[in-house]
Amino acid sequence: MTEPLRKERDDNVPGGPWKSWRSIYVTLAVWGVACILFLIWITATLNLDLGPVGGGP
Amino acid sequence: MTGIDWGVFAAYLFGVLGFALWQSRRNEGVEGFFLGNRTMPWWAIGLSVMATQASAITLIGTTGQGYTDGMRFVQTYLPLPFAMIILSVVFVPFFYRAKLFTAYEYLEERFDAKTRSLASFLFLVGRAMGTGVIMYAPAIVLSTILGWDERITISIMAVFTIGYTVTGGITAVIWTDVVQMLMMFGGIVLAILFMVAGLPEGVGVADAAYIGGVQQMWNAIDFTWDPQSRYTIWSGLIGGTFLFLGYFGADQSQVQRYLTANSERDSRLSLIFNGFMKVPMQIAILGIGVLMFAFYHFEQPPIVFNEAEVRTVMESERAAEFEALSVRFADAHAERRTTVMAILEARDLGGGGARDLELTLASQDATLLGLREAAKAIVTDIRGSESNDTNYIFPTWLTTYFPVGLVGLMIATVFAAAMSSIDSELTALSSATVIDFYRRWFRTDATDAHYLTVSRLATLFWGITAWGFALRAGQGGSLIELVNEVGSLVYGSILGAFLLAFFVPRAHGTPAFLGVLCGVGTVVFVNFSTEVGWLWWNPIGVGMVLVVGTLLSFVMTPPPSTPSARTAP
Repeated sequence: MTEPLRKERDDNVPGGPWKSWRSIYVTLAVWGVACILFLIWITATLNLDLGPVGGGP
Repeated sequence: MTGIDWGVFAAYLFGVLGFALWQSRRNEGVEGFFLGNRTMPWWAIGLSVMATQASAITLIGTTGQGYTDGMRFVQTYLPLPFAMIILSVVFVPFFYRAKLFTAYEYLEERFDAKTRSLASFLFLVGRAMGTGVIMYAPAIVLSTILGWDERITISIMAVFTIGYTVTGGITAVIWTDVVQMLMMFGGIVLAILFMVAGLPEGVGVADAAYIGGVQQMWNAIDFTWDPQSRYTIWSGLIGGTFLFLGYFGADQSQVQRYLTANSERDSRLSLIFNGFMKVPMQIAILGIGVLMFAFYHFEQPPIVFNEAEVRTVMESERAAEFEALSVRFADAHAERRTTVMAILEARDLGGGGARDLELTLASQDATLLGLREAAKAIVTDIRGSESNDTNYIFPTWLTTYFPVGLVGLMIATVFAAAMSSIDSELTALSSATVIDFYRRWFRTDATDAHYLTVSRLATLFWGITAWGFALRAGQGGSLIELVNEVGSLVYGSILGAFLLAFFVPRAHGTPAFLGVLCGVGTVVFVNFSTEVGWLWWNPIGVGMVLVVGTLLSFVMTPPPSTPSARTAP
């Protein structure tokens, strides 16, 4: 007895551009890393270490 | 607030209420009341997950946090996308397939009844206080606008919300949250637009951002390793991971949300949706706080942001002293404004002399801070308890600089945000009380109608308890910190119980129970006896439960019965 060639449709997939759960998890992980890199960039470029300042109202 | 603002506010508020009550007509029995008959779509649950976590505190407390402390609080949220992945892979299948009402039911199926009851009890303790804080937040807004004592506004809102919650179910809560979350997105965009538009002529958003940078407010990432520092990348990534795993994986107010999905796929997608949206939203909200901080370098801020407290002081015998401080504050601000404009000019000319100007700015900041502290000391003296106006900063800016009509809309957004969260929390508290205690221990065979009535009474009880806590919340500093701190006392240990259940096959009931007790005891000890930041409490609690639970499981003899097949790891 051979296995059927056509796979059954799997309803338990994310949908949209993601064909598997693994792919959507990888996308989300990359997004999380991108957010961290963005904030590192903000800190490095916008936060100006020019002297003992800060804390005013 | 003008008449138009009040009209917009009332229309929005009653519209949301009517919508919620209309949706609640679908609730039939306990499963309808607590789980919406498990028919909710993923995107509605996803928005509701965000809305429940966000509430009014996010707008009020987090903007205030950005104003006083810069961006660094965002580090707490950085692990959220990764936590959502772990939850989707590990937690959702266990919870969804077991067809539970509460997360803690799983602990009985895996361990025993006493572990379930302990975890549920800890949730009730932590969440009841947290709900009180959530109830307090919008009362601040109304207090500032109306000039009423905040205790009056807390009480009015509590009565109104409790009444609505008792009649509404989870279906109404989720759909209300959808509307509220969309309003919050709109409110964030509007706040940024009006912040930029309100800058003086000739001063752009880049200039405001530059001043924020000079003042070290774009401090989003801190790589220093210091357990006593509240917010670093390490405390955020490590402590935050456990905080979110505990909150989304072991807190009934969130677990109940994704148990309402009509499939395991939708449960997962609702969490993933949250993973994508949450960090950018927090960046935007904290950014509003930083921009507001820079904004008040060009426009004069009030010396104390709580108008009601200022009015009280001005009617006291120390009014003249307070008035004198206000005059000196205005003069000092004018001098600082001149310095700030000179710094921008020096930057445009290539930076020459900027160093001296920044030292001058630091000196002027110290003067302003000293005057503000002196004014707050007078408020504290008159009030009889410590004054903390961090949570009044954003509402004050809103009512001062927003145009007619939109003030009412923004206030309605804040109010409805809180209402939806309170509603969710009270429903979660009620479900844990009824399902984990009443139905488990006292009346195991009553009718569905009976349990529904008891659920409504439990909601009423927790509403009144949270109301009492809300009346005390004003002395706790930043609201967003207070909520997370209260939760962190117990989240780690509850999460530890679930991780023990999922990953330690040998673990059994009594060791798990003792492990949770050790976890909570250790965290309480760390809280009261050390300076370790609250984000570290969660991994400490988890670690204690896992270590003690695992070791005792090897030492103690397991009971003869084995866990059911569907809940064993």
